[in-house]
Amino acid sequence: MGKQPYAMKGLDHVVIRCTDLAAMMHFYCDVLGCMLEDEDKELGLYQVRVGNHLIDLAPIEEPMGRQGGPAPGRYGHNMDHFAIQMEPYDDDAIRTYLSGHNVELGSTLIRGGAEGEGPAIYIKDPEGNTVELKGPPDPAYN
Amino acid sequence: MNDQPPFDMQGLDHLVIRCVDLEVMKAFYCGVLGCTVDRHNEEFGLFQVRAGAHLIDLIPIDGKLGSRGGPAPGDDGLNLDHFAIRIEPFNEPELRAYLEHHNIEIVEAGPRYGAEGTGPSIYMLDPEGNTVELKGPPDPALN
Repeated sequence: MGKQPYAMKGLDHVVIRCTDLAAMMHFYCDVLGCMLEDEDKELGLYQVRVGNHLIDLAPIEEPMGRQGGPAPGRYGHNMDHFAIQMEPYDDDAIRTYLSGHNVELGSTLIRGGAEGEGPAIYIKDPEGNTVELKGPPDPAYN
Repeated sequence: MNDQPPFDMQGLDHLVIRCVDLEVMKAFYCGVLGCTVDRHNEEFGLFQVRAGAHLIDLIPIDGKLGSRGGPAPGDDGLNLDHFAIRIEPFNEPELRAYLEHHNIEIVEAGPRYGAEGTGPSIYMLDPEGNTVELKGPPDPALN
């Protein structure tokens, strides 16, 4: 059998298993600016919007998250990190804003993303997941 | 601080999966799912495949990037429960036949809420146990 019977448009959502939903919601919504869009308390799934996509949080004490066993540790993650596209990308403003929210910031690096090479800052969410904040591709590097 | 973030988020750009056997993972993501190879940085141990507008990056745990995250992911206690790729069209009989031909087991199926609304989904495991959801377009009857 040959080709796939579909074309891929792109990512739709990622689902993160978490321990402290309130702390995670604070980070993703209050700090990064995601909006809670849908919650299924029976299942234990909290979906926040990030632009055209969703980040879903599944607390490990609730039915969905519980299926995946214990809490993720600090190491041995299956997802190393994920990246969010942001625009505008004003490095100074982003750094000032996130520092004001006590988010620890690494240096700004030029990294390859889905649209090409551009600036990226890596931060950690409250449970140690690495989130890459990715600026638009920089013509100087592409 | 009550200020607003000085940026807008457009959405996801890529996600990075730590893996043990890159060749087997490539065979699944490219050979079965149909991702295309975007870039391969051997020095860093970074293999980037394209899924439509976005990337799925594979980093072997014995490579420069992958080794920073410690041991291989286990069978449980994972940080990523699953991720979803939006596909079109979503013809369930054809999808099932195609995946079955590649010996991929469908572990769950049904309408699910995704970034564009509620629509059909099927779930499978990649060769290293990561759950991948293939998500169809929103179904007008369910939205």
